[in-house]
Amino acid sequence: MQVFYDFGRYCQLLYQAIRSSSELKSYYRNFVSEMIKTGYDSLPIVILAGVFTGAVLSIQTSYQLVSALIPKSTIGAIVTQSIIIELAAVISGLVLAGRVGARIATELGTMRVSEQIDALESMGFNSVSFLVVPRVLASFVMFPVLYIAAATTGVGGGLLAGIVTGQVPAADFLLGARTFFLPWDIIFGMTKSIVFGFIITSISCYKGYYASGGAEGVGTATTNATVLSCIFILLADLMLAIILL
Amino acid sequence: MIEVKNLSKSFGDNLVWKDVSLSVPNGETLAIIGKSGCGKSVLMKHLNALMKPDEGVVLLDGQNIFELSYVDLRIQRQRFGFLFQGAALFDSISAFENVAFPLRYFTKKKEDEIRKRVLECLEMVNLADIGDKSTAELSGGMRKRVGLARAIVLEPDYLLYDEPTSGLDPETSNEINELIVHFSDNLNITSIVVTHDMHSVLEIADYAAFLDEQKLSWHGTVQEMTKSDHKRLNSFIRASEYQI
Amino acid sequence: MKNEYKVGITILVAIIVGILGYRFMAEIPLFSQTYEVYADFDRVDGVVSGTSVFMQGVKVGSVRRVEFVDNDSLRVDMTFNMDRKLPEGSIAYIRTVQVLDTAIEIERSSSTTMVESGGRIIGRYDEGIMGTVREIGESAGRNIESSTEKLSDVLGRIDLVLEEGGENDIRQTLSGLNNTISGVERILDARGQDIEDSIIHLRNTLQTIDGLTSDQQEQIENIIANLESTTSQFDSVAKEIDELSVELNEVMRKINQGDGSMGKLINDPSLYNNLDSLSYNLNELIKNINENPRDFLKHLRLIDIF
Repeated sequence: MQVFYDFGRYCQLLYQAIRSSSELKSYYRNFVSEMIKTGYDSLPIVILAGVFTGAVLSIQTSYQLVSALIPKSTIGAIVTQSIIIELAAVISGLVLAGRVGARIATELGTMRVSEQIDALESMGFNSVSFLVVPRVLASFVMFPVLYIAAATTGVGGGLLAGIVTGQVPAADFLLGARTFFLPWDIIFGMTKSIVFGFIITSISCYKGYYASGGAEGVGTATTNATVLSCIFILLADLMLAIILL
Repeated sequence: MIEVKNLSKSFGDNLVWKDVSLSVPNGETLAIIGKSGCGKSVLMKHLNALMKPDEGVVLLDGQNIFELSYVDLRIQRQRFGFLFQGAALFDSISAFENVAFPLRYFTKKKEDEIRKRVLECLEMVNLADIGDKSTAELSGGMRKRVGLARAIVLEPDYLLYDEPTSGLDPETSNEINELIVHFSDNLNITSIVVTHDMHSVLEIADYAAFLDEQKLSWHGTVQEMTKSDHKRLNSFIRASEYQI
Repeated sequence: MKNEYKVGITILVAIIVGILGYRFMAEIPLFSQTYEVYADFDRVDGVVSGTSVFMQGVKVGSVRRVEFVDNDSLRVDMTFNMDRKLPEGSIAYIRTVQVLDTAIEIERSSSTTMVESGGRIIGRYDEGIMGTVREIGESAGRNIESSTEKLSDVLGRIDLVLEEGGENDIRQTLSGLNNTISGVERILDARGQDIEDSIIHLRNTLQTIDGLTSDQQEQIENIIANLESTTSQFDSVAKEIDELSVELNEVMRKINQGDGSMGKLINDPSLYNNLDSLSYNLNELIKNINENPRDFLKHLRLIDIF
């Protein structure tokens, strides 16, 4: 029953958020600062995750494909496609569930238990819109940006690891990468990243907004927000794969 | 004029209070007193519909605020200033910006007008030199006063104080009390104060309402309160006096 | 405003990196204008967006898009990342490379007018290596078939020759050949002596000439005339020898090449085997007749009755 209660309240929250979308102007300041916090500040961790994912993928794939019958370019194709379709979006999604999700849940949770949300309401704000809309919108803009960062650095990391370890020459890697490159994959990956952005920000907003019980409540809300975001990212990943592929 | 009629509230199976009815004339100050956890703050949060009751109405100039549309309710809410227990300052922005916050979103004032008004309000709460300090750098008393400045910045008709003096030293408490009296007298603001500090009740309030045993146990003027023979009210008042 | 700058720059950089990354991956030149042409095909087995385009064995571009056009043919848009343009009338072949992978191979024409970007080149579906292999296989099959036919024809004829008592012919041919050769030897032997004599005679004659005086001029002239006639006789003999040796060569060559029954007999082992088995069978038959004359006599008797 708790699940349905939560889901209902979650939907209600989203409804309240879009209910006063006519006041977009007043969210602008928050929108910009959220884009900084969600996007700009997350770039380093996402780039780091991208580079290492690509490098590890490249090394492990070349370790697994030792057959003389399989051309080296296959490694480039596998690494590039995996990153563009799946890993750039999912790995950055999971990293950001921790970084962005936890931050949002803590922020809103603290605002809730220190009555800042009540203060917003008592001033005449639609606190849900004021807090949720800029965060979700910022994620719509910034998650594709982070996806691009993760994808390019991921492919770059894979290429670099192949060259440095001497497993895959650059020319072979690029040949494979380009041969199996489909523009649709980018659209697919980017769609994923936007969906993940929505999942992370909305769930974290929900958990933070309805936090209760002081500092411990905020902690619980943050943990729940991160865990739920990760679970729903993986679920959404599966759903999107079924729907779009 | 705020009127509360037959208000009942419970959280799940726990009844907070029921059948509460009282009214506050314009320009007067009402103190809601009672033990910790008796639902004083909850009652106050019903006054500007931050919480919804199970039964009953709150009439603001004769209009039930729970029947207002969300847009109208938010307009009505701007007639209230609310000083929260922990001041509830937005910790992501500076003290100055906290006071300027409502002005930026709800008025079309220009930057210099906003600055002028904010400084005016800060001066009223004796914090003219607060500058661009972040909220984390402020002491408890200063936070309360910044919160107060933020509450009056839109020139409200009603001011709601939730435990304005709790956790403060007696001297700072007195300062806050003086401010409340000052606003009430000079700005003609109707004030409702939630407190369990009888000392400040005697100083600032015209009316008192005593919440006890899950109902509005007693209410009347402060003069009547001191002479009342209500048993539990007397013991509550005396307990406070011992503290002093 | 500082935040707005950060956001703006971040988004802008991401868009630029995204576009450059896409162009890099899709092998569109990063900055310059792309060179695009299209070709129409009846079928494009395995050609998809991203399929490589080769020219003279070098990858020069890739397929951007494959789509149906009105008349049910397929239009393949190709983008190139090379500096030069394609000449008018260049042909795009769809080929299967490495058994499964498909690629487009551009064959440039010699035309001097170039196809502008967005222009059209000729598209041809080519079955590739597999097709070639099949073609070769088919023609090779046909060749083998006809070869076999010819062979059996030849063998049949040989059979015929042998049946019609060709063996004797061959024997006669061989003995004829032997006679001819010995004839030649004889001629050489006999004439050799003659030649030697002639040379000695000549030497004597020359010695005589030395000792002659001018009044004997006429006599010398006669001798020279005689000598000339002798020489012409030599000529004809030499010619005869020549012809003989040519003929001999021809005969030997034919034998070696396996032309004619003789050659067949010498060069074709199967023929020898046939003959071998034939003689074996004959032996068997004769042995059978010897051992069971009745069986054969029985038949004879039946024939007698009829």
